[in-house]
Amino acid sequence: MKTDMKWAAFFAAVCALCAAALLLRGGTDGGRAVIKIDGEVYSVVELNAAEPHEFDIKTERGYNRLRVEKGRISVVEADCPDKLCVKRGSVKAGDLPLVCLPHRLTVEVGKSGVDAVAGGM
Amino acid sequence: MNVKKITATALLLAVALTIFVAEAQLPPPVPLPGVKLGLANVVTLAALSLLGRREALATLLGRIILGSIFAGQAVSFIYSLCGGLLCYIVMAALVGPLGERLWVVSVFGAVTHNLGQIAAAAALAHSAAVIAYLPVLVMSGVLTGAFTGLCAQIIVKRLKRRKEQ
Repeated sequence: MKTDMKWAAFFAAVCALCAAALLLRGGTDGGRAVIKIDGEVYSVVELNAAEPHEFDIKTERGYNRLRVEKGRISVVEADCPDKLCVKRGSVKAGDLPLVCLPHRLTVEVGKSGVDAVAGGM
Repeated sequence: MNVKKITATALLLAVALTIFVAEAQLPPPVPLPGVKLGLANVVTLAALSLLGRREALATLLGRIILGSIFAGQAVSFIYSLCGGLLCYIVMAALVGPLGERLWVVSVFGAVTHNLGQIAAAAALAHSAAVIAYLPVLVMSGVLTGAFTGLCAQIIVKRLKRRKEQ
C-alpha cells in the first residue's frame, strides 16, 4: 500500500509537470493561422482582418472545410474517418494545434506560427 | 506452447478484439488525436501476468491486425502498431520486477504507447505540430494507464485465486 502511494505521488508529479508545460505555452501573436499539409506551409490566414468566411482544402487524401471567425479557426466539415478535427471545435491563439491526422493537416495559431511563416515563405 | 496455453491465448485474443471494436464505436472522450481509454490493454496485461510474454505478444499483434481490419482504417494501423509494440516492450520488461503492481506497469506502458503514437504521427504526417500534444498525451497515459492497470490487477487476482482453489 505504501509503495502504491509512492508510485501514485510520482505519477501525480509527472502530471503536474505536464500541466505546467501546457500552461506555460506561449501564444502572443494570435492574428494568424498557419495551415500546413504534410509538413509544408499551405497557406497563412489572417484571423482578425477578414469577415467570417469558409474555404475548402482539397488534397488527394480528402477535403476539410475551414471556417475563420473572430480570431478563431475551426474545421466545420471533413471526409476523414474519425472526424476528430471537426469535433475539436475552434482554436484561438495559444491553443494546441488543430490536427487532422488522416489528411496530414495541421493548423497552428500563435507564437510558433510566426516562425513557420518566416521559414516557409 | 501446449494446447491449454494456445486455447487460453486465442480466448484472450477474442476478448481483446471484442473490447477493441466496442471501444472504437464509442465517441472519443476528448476530441484530441491519441487520447483514448485503451481498455483492450487490460487483456495484454492479464496475458502477460497469467500466461507469459510470448502469449501476450500474440494477443497484442492479433488484436492490432484484426482490429484494424474490423474497426479501423489503414492509417490508424501504423499508429496502433508503433504504440502497441513500444507499450508491449516496456510492459514485458517491467512485469517481472513490478508484477505485483500491474497498475504501475500499465501506466508506464500507456505513456510509452502514447509517445510511440506521437512519434509515428510526427514522422508520417511530417508535422512538428503534433509534438505540442506531448504533455496532454503523457497525462492521458497516466490516467488511462492507471485505470486499465487496476482493472487488470483485479481480474488477475481473482483468476489466480480461482486457480489455487
